[in-house]
Amino acid sequence: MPHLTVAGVQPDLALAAVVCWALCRGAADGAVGGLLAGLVLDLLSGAPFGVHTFTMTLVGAAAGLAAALVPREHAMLLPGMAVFCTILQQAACVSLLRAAGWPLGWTQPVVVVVIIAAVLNLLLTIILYPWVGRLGRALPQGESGW
Amino acid sequence: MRPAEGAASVVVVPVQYALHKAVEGLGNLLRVPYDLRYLRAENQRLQMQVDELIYQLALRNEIELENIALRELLDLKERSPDILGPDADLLTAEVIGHDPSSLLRYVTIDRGSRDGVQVGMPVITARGLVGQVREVRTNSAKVVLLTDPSSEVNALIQRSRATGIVQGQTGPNLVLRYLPQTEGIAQPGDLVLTSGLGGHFPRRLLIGEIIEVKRSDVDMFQEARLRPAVDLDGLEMVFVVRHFTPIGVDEQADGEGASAGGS
Repeated sequence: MPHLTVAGVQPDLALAAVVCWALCRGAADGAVGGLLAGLVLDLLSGAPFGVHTFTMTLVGAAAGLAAALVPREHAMLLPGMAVFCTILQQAACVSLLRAAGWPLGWTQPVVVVVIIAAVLNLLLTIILYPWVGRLGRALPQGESGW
Repeated sequence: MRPAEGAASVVVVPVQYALHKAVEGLGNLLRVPYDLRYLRAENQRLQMQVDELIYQLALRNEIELENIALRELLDLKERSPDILGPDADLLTAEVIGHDPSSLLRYVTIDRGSRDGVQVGMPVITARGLVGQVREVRTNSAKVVLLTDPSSEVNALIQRSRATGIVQGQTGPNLVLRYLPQTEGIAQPGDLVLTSGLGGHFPRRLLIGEIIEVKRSDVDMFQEARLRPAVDLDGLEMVFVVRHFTPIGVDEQADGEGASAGGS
């Protein structure tokens, strides 16, 4: 979403969709959704292949687990998970990219990027949730139930 | 007879007028269904015309913008022998995608190995340096932008001729590192160009403008923050430098052709 860029940071549609999907469907479906979204992102990104697949699967599973622990009606579940998952995804990304030789660290520009990304993803998740929720309810639920 | 005609007309004319108006009104009333049908058709036709004109206008604006961009690129192509050497070879490419991650700064262009694009080739616009080709596929290539943390370019400050290394730092700005501690060597407003050292990039390409200098007595070097000359978030068309003459390579030695990227 390069046209919605704020200070060089763009909202992450894939992450917002995976968080919404995981909150509606649980950890197993969330992880599968994250895996698929991550594979697509890896094809488009300049990062080493697998970085986005791993981080998005992690995000899907984490959001799904949170939905199992916290009542879905809780007002802070959606915004809290949007912010938490953004930080989790960016932290995992920074760690993996560092391991792959990228000169990335928790410097001021990276922290600023993470904060702006968290705010943008929070807004996008709130907008997206009703649509993804409708889709999640329309499709049959899996057996695992967690 | 004349007075009688005059008196009659006083009575008849208003009646005649009233009748005329009534008939006209009745006629208009009877014409309403036809007019409605006609107006609807006319409205539809005009709406289509407006849509067509809006489309034409948007198309014209787009062509004008593209024309400006192409003129800038053409101008650069004409100037390229001065900047890139006599054997300069530029390939126009369109940006077809941006990296989905906010931590990395890559773009995808619509030219690949089929068009002779190779890893390491510099990518520029008429305004300055954009980055370097990092990955090549048959029909596309990934370009790492100056603002990516993994990007490093040998640079010099135009005014003081001091050299350093420009690095990306995830955000929209760049940082110029390893500048000597000499006072006044870097000042806000100074332009930073490629130095050409290392042979990876042509020299004298504009990188950006210094916006802030950080100098501390306890550090070995001072550093400066730059604003890139090119709007890297709004890239649409770029040039891939397939061939240029690296710094210090004379034309005789270059007879076999110095490859882009200095390799």
